Amino acid sequence: MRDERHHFRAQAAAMGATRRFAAHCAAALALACAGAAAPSAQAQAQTVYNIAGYVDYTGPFAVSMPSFDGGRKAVIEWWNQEVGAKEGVRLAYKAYDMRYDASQAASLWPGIKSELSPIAVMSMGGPDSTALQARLPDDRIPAMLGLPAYGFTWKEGSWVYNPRPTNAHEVAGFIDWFQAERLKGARPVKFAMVTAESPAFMDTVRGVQSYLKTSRKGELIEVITTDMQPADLTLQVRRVINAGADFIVVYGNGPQAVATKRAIQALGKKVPILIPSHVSLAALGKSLGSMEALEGDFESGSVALATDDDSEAKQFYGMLTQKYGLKQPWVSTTIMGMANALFVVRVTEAAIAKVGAKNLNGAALQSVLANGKFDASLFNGVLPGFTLSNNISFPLVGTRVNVATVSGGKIVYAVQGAPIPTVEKW
Amino acid sequence: MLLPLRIRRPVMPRTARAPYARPLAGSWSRAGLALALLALCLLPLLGPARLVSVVSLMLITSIVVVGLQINTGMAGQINMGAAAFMGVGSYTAAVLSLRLDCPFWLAIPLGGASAAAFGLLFGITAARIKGFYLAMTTIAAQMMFQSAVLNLPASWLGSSGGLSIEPARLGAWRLSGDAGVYYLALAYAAFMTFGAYGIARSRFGRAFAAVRDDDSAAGPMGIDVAGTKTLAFMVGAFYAGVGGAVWAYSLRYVAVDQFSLFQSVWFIGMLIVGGMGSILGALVGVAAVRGVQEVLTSYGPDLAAMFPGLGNQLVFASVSIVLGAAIAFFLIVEPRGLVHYWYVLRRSFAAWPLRY
Repeated sequence: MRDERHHFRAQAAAMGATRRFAAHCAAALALACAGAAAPSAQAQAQTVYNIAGYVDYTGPFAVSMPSFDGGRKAVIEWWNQEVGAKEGVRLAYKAYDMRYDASQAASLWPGIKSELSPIAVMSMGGPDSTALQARLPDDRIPAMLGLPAYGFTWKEGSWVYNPRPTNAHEVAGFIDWFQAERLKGARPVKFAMVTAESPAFMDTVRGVQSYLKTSRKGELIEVITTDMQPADLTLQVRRVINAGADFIVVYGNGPQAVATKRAIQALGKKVPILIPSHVSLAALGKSLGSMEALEGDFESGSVALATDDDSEAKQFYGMLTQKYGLKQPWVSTTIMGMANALFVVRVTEAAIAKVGAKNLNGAALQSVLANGKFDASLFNGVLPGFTLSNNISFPLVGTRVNVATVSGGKIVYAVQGAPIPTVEKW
Repeated sequence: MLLPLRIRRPVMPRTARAPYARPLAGSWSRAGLALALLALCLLPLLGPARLVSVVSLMLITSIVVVGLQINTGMAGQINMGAAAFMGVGSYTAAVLSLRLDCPFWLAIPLGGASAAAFGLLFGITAARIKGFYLAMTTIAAQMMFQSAVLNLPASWLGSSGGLSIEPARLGAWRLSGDAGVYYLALAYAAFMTFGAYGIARSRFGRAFAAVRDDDSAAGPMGIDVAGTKTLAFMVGAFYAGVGGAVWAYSLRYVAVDQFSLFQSVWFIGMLIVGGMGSILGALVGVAAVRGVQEVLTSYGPDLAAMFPGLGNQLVFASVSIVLGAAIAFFLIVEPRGLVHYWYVLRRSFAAWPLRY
């Protein structure tokens, strides 16, 4: 009997322990569910805003578009998870192909506006910027780029904004740096420019000419106007090298840079070239067959450059590839897509702080952009800090340019953050 | 893309009662036209914004392509520089609007007139050469236009910076919104299309057809061959100029890269798809090519999102592939274009229940 009681007590104790264990499990499960439910409730509380992005998958930049668009998407995904979730905002990005054609960009816009109701547009370049610039103030939606600006966007009241100055400003920054560092200020830099009869390329030439009207640091020997895909530039390059060019600026496209390098190689000379970040030393090296061929050449831009250095921007890129599905390589077009998206998300953040997460719209973003000051720390090393003025859609004060060069077959920074001088409006 | 330098001439009736010259031959046609015009007038009030903008662009393009039809389809003078003529009209309207505060209703026809004057240069050339050589000469128009705009002083045509203009105004009505731009384009497209039918029915239209069919025979018949060719170029350029001027008021910004050789090639492609020699064919071609472009472009992002495996690149590139294939198909299989099917349908309807 005693044994039976003991057995009963033991059994009851065991059952009690089981109940307690079950209760603990239930409580743990409830806590776990509550914990899991918290983010989803937070996600449900997120307000979704649309961002329209112009892309060019069928025009002249079709080859670069996967990396450009990939850079944009990864940054938006990163921001949505890391920042937007806390702010209660989610940005939904949708791409529209405009074939790098102003008429297509213009025809797409009313549909984008009515179907998507975007709070901002990620602009890609000249055609979409020009197609929209007259309409955007009426529609009260700002457009933001990630590429260098153009002289023709230097006007008041534009709702097209750019975190970078013009190509001409970036070249002017390089000229000043080269004259001070490589020539030690001994004499003005002598250089030539290779261009084609395209508005964007001619704009750079006119901007540099405008800069040289007020600066004694450079002398433009000759403007070589050639085709978009030149076959041979030996004759023209021989002429400018004989005239004593310290370097040749090829701020156009890849084929022009290749033709210029081939001409320099054919002449057996060692005159460096300067290319923009959208052409990039890495891409040019592939076209020429080796990076050794580019030893001492330069790439410049007011944006992170695709160097082999372990820079802050490259670490940010690495994080995006590991956590946010970025599959594109570390090339200039990926960086420009990232810069474009970073500009948009940081402006959105500032607008949230100003008007609240529930009240975001295009006008709120524009109010941040006009006279907006953006610190370099916001851009994870991808963009330098800049200040926008109410009158002009791209930064003019305190702008800086990065210069990369090829040393020992590797792309490394020659200088980071060289100051850009004042360039008169052209 | 292989340029259609040797365009197979369509089989068309040679009489004055040719279908391309008779838009309103019966009460059915008149009723159809009235309905179409009514639908077009009501579109901004009832249709979605995207459709309104797409049709606006189609209307502007149709002005240029109808002019090209007169020049190339009716008079047989190949013109690969239509975009340049369009650009001349566009820049003229912009300059008149900016510098002289010229109202749009005057700036637009003057844009056409300046393009016609530019076309005169190439019309004179057309009197001496034809075919491949004429095509090459009109490509020169494209190059001359671009080079001139970029290299003239910026104070003239804005150089690389382009020109921004104020929207067209009709009294207090500012034609800056989508509906305003649409009605502007519709008014000019309707007026110019009816004008084109008038030209086709006139003695000039018959002279164009005679020169196209056989310029050696047209001379002995009493037609001034050189004058007719020159006139065809001027009329085509006038249309392109008017289209360009309307485009300037639509976009309110004019830049040289908006008028590329690529655009000119597309205009020729629209003629081929629609049908050479027919005004209606030009309109059908514009609607078909622009329609396909817009549909693929509009649904491209959705397709890419639905099938991420395909990737944006493949989906968007399909626009060029589909349109290129369409042009090749019509060149090979049906050189009379889509409009031929319309004529067949109309004849069948008239003869019903008999086959012919």
